[in-house]
Amino acid sequence: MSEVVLLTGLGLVLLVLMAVLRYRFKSSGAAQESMPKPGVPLSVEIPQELVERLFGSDDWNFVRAQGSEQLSRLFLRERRELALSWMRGVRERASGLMHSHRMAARASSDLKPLDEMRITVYYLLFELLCQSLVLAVWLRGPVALTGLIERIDGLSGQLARVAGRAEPVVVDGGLNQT
Amino acid sequence: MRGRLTHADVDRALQDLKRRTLAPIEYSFGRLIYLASTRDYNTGIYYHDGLAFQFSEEIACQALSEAHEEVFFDLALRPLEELAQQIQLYIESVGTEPINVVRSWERLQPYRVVIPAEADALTAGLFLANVKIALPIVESRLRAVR
Repeated sequence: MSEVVLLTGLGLVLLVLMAVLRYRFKSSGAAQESMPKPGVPLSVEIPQELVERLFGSDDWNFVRAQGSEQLSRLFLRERRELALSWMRGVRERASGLMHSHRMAARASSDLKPLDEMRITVYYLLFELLCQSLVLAVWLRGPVALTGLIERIDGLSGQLARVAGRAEPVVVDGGLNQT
Repeated sequence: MRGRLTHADVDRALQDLKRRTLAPIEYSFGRLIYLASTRDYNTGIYYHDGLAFQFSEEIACQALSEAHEEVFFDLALRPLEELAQQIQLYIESVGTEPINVVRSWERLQPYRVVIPAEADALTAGLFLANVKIALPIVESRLRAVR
């Protein structure tokens, strides 16, 4: 029963994401806001050590061993804020990357539909994983999420590589091939 | 005294700084506080008279900045348990009633100024969150040994 609810929820999230994407593709004004800031690297990967420290369970086990309910709540609140703030940053950069890619693709005379489709699928998967993370953070708490974070991080890097390879991306006023 | 900034010079200054100044400070949190205190909060420029005299102000600034980053990232990525121990060691060495120091830190959050300018938002956020969580742990330990 819970699997059915989960799958239905994920399906709904996917549908909403597709609708949002469709809207963003049409709305150039909104897309303008998500332009990557000059000098901000397009790659969004974070060091493994930091992922482990942030989303692993070592620190949580230590805090729980202190036996203070108040301290446990403080820990979970702080880590939840960090997880969500990290995810917002990653999504902003991925969205900026997609915007740059779309701009370049529109001006391209040699558009490859298969590549474009692959990029869209990567982006949708990435967004789906981000939504799953939000859900997991609120339902399970921000602890022991290393696996999910690694998947999001890996996919965001893959997205940056695939989108960068397919078209030149405008960064910091110049044309760079990522 | 001014000089050209070369990587070799900065590296020599960094080694000198570690050997003469940082080594006597026995724990990382103390080194972090010391290095942050050599930075001018208005300009972000680091100063160290001895190092500037031996090398140049520019080289000394770069060496201090690199040492600051190194110590910060090392501490920020350490387990919370170790960070709490480091903070306790520092607080006990201040020379004021440790419980009062903890309370003052909780209220004023002076540890916010120890973050180097080059730190990314996520690592800085993790460090600040961990210090905030470590303070009540340190406080309860201090109360237990009273």
